[in-house]
Order: sequence, then C-alpha cells, then structure tokens
Amino acid sequence: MPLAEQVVAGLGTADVDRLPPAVRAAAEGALAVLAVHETAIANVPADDVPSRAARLAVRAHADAGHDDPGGRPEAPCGCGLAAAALGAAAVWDATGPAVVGAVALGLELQLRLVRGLGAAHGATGWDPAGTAGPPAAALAAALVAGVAPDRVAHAVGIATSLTLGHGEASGTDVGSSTVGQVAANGLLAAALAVHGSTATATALEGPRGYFHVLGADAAADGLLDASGGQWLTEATPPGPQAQPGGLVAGLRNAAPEQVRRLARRLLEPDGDGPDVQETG
Amino acid sequence: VTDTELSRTVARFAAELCWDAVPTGARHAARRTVANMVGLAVGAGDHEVVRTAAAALRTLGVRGTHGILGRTERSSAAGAALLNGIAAHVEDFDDTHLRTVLHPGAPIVPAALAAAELTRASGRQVLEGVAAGVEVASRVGNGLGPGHFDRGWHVTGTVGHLGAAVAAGRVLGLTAEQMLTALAVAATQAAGHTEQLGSMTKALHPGKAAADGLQAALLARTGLSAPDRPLEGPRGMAALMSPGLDTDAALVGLGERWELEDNAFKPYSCGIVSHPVIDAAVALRSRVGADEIASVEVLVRPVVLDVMGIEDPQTGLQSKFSVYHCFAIGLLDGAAGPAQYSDERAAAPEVVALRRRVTATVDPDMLKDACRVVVELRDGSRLVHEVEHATGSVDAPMTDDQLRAKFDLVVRPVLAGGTDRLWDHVWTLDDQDDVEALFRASRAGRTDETAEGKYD
Repeated sequence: MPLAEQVVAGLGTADVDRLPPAVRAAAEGALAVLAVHETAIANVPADDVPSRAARLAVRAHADAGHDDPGGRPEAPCGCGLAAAALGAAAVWDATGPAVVGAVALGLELQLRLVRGLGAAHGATGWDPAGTAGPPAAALAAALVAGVAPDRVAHAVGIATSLTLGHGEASGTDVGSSTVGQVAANGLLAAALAVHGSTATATALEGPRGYFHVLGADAAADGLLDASGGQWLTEATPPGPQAQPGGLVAGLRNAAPEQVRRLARRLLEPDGDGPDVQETG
Repeated sequence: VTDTELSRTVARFAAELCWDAVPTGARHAARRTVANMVGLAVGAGDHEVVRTAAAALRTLGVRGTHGILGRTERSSAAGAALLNGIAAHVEDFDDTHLRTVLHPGAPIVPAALAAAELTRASGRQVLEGVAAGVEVASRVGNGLGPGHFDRGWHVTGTVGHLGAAVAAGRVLGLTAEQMLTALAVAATQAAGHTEQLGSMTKALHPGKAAADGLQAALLARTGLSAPDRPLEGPRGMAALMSPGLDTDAALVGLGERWELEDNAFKPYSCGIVSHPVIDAAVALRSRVGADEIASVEVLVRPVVLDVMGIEDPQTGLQSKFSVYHCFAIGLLDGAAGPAQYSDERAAAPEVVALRRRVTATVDPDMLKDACRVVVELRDGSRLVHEVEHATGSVDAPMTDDQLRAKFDLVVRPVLAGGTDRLWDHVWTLDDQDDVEALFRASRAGRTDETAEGKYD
C-alpha cells in the first residue's frame, strides 16, 4: 500500500475519542495558541480563507514565542496545521471534537515526518516546520473536511509538492511567514483533493518523491512504526503551547455550526469573517 | 562576479531591464513564449484539472476581478495566476528550456499578466517582465545544474517560482532591492517533485509558482525583511536543492547572450524527452502498418525512462509519461496532440496492443534530442530510423507559422469566433496599452459560460 494511504489508514482513522490525554492536550494547546494573541502581522495581502489562516498562524507563531531560529527543529510548532484545521472548519462542517482530533493527528504526522527526514535535514538548512508542515496541515484540513480516506491521502500527496522553508531566511520576516504558508498550502491541498485532484500514490516514498528530494532516502520505511500504539506527540510535544482556555472550552462539545462561527471569528478578529462558499 | 553576488546580480539585472535594450531575437522569443502560453491556457481553460482547481479556490473563498484565460469567471490576482499556470501546463504541450528542463511559459507569463492587470500595465511591460523572468529562471537553473533535476525536483515548480517573482516584480516596477526581496520570498517556497508526473499535481506546480511569485513581488513592496543571499547563501536554495552551484553558468554573458532564445516550443503534447521517438514513429508510418509490426526497440537517453517509463498508462495524464504510448500514437495517428493523450486514447485497444510490443533501451551516449528506432516486422525484415534533432528542439525549432498552427489547434475548438482576434492581440502585445483586450479576446465566443463571476 502506498505510504500516503498507510498514513491515512494508520493515523487518519484513529479514534478521536480515545486519544491519549497528552495527545489531546497537545492538540488543544496548539489550537489555543491561535486565540491568545492579536498582534497584527498583515503581510498576507489577500482576503480569502487560506490567506486569513496564514495571517492567523504567523501572528500566533510570533506572539507565542515560537519564532526562535534556535528553537526545537525536532518538534516544530503546530500553528500552521492548527490554523489550517481552523480554516477548514470555516468552510466544511465539523464538530469541535473532530477539529481537535484532526489537529492531534496532524501534529503526530508532522512529528513523524520530521523524524523520517532525519536530523541532517534540519542541520543542512531546511526548516522542518516548512517541510513537514504542509502534508500535516493537509491531513488535518482534509480530516476536518470529512472526506473519504482516499481523498485524504491525495491531500497529503498534493501537499508533498507544496513544501518550503530555507534556513537562509531564518530570523527575517520571510522566515517568520513559513507557518502561514504551511496553513495556506495545507488548506489548498485539502480543497483540491476534496474536489477530485490527484497526487501520485507514491508521492511520499517514490524515487523522485518527497523524502528523496528533501534528502532522506531511507526514512520513509519507518514513518509509521508503532503508530496507533505509540504517539510521538506524547514524548515530544510540539513547540510552546497556550493553556487551553476559552477557545478550546468552546470547541469541546461544539456542534458544526458553532465551530464554524468560532472559526470565522478567529480568522478575522476585526471583521465579519471570510466570504466562503457554503459547502455543507 | 563572485558567488556571494548571484542573487543581487540577477535582481539588479531584472529590475533594470528595459525592453528597448532586449535584442531583437530575444524579443521575438518573448513574444513567442507569451503567444504559446496564452493559446494553451485558452485551449485548456475547461480541462478537468483547471475546473477542479477553480472549484477548490471558490470553496476557499478566493474571489476577485482578475481574468482567467479562456474562462468566463474571475478570481483574485493570485487565483488567476494559479489557474492560468495550471491551464498552460496541463497538456504538457508548452515549452522547454532544454538545458534545465524548465517549462518557463506556464509559471512566468501568468504572473506577469496578473501583475499587469493589477497595475494596468502595458503589453510591452508584460513582455519586459517575461523576458526578465525567463532569463533569470533559466540562468539560475543553469547554475543549479543538471543535478537539481536529477535529484527529483520539478524545475518548472522550483526555479519557476523565481521567474514568476521576477516577471511580476518587473511589471510592478520593483527596485533592485525589492526585486532581491521578491526573489528571497519566492526561493524559500520553490517546490514540486517529479514523482508527481502523470498526476494532476504536476500542473499545479507551475500554477503555484505563478501565484507564489506574484505574491512574492507584492510582498516585496511592503518592506519586509528578507535574506540577501537567498540563492547562494549557505542555507539557501542552491545549497539545499542542488549538488553544487555553478555561478558562471548562471551569470556569464548575462544581458548579452539570452537563454530566452533557447526556449523551445513543444510540437507534441507530452514529456519533451520522448519527442524524438514520436518523430520517428510519424516518419515510419508511411513505411509500415501496426499490424505488420512484431516488435519495436527504441534506443533513448537514460532520462527518457526516468521520466517517461510508464509501461501501461491507465489515464491520459499518465500516457503523457509513457514513451511506449508515444511511439504507438505516433505511428497509429501520425500526431501527438492533446487528443492522443486522452483517457480514451490511453485505453484504446489498438494503442494498447502496439505499445505492448515496444521496448526501450537506454544509451547514455544518445544526444538529448535524438533517438534510434528498430522495427522488427512479422515477415522477418527490419526497419531502422534515426532522429538527429527532434522537431521543436533548439536545432530544429518550430517556425512562427508552425507556432500559429499549434495555437489554432488548441484554441479553435473552444473559441467559436475563430482564433484571429486573440492571435492578433497576443502577437502585437508590445503595442497594447493594457492586457484587458487580450483577456476579452480569450473568452470571445465561448458558449460554456462557467458558474460565476461572468464578464462584461
């Protein structure tokens, strides 16, 4: 079975109600970061959902103190994929627990991709937040969209072509915007997959695919070792998180319509939220 | 010039480029690049891959007033660049800078057009941007070397980002410092791998490059901080995405010898490395029928099997990356346009039967645009055909008349009013005050008005 499909089979179908407490806490913490600070970083010029999610991710990332070039490359922050999940919740119907679960699974995939890419990947100059982030954000967004597993796998596959993040940009505004692009690219990949776009089944592990071009030929084999039984998120929680507060409390038992309102409010704290097509 | 000056040098070149200083041959190449891209995008405006992407953008609330070639809806500037880039590339019929395997038109022209719509820039400014974008992208691709492609990067998605940023930046009138910032924003987003060949994501690569490049140019005007050596820095694009940077290959002769003039236009709607095989098949069809053939051996460069090795393609998109399919349709149809790479043709019994009789053997000494085909007939005799330079290659370029015929081939089926008006607009773009007339002509006579945001 191609690796992207294994990812979805191994992670995408995990029982959200039975997430280990630490995993759920990590997901709720990543979401909570999005609602804590409101410093405007308005370097995303457009007004659509991906751009708003990007703006939210960049703002939260900077204000939560994640924007440290010497941070923890083995555990990138979850701002990008959490914003992608929230953006998806503004577009597609999803319950609060489903959004938390999607973020948890996105965080887990992000960690596993970083592990698979290996320590040399970050050491040579790649920003793992930008390379592991898009497929993880696509997984989270596609799970929120609630599409069939094969579509989720295509979302992950599409996002393997939307990676970014050069260390040369670290410490500049360009580097700080990486998590925003993670959010936007994950949302785009998910929406494309929802509407029927395809990626090559072996986009992750193929001889000219994601792992190979990013310099980690052998890593694909161990991507899903012990998934389902062990959660890397328990041992290696993502970068600094906020204490779950109002946002997460609002999500815990929220119905889709409540989630959508909350997501839209967060995506545009100063306005009425994006003008999106109702897709149900 | 030293290694530390690559980014700054190409940024300055692009920011200061003046259309009047572009040699006649390079201007002609820029005009051909735009005409080819526009025709392809109009022809594929309603392709499934484009419709899918347009639906995804609408779902995500991407709206705007910018033109999409050959479609009656509008989108944001970046959304339009994305869709135009996808449409220009989806038939694999576009163009190729052979040294780098960059297809420059699809990522670069849409970014320039979107920037021109934003600022009501003239056609001449668009051509100026395209010339700058193709030149910088090709030259940086030269600098990254063949190892960049060999590693698996889809050059059109990677250096296409740079070309799109430069093209949009030139249209927007960025200063040299701003152009450097645009390059930095684009470089860090350069992406796309060739494992995606045969999938819908392949065409997304130039579309995303066009959109990101446009955004990079727009962001550069806001004064954000950026690295000043995004291409050559120790943790920059070359260090991360190629085995080594050859600065001379990128910069020697900049502004004097134009890589843009080496942009070749595809006569066939598939991966360019198999074009010699199609030439051979078309030539052989007057000498032999499919029923007479026992087996076919095609001798090709190793790269052909690297990227065109799909033996039993299941879809039209996959068939574009099957050298076996390419030989079969070349011999059976005597053509290799979009119709030969449809889902139906990929599954046609006579095509399947013939391509199963084709084997491919690699010859490392074979030239890039050459091949040798040996046909064993059922009566025991054999035919041999050699192609020295494939049609459309730098050594056997398409003429302007051939380019016009290709334009008509793809545009005529979708524009009921004929192709003359659109061709005239695009071929005289340097005389146009803006690009609005071009967009209007691109949808004139369309009857399949798409869902929303109709024009005029």
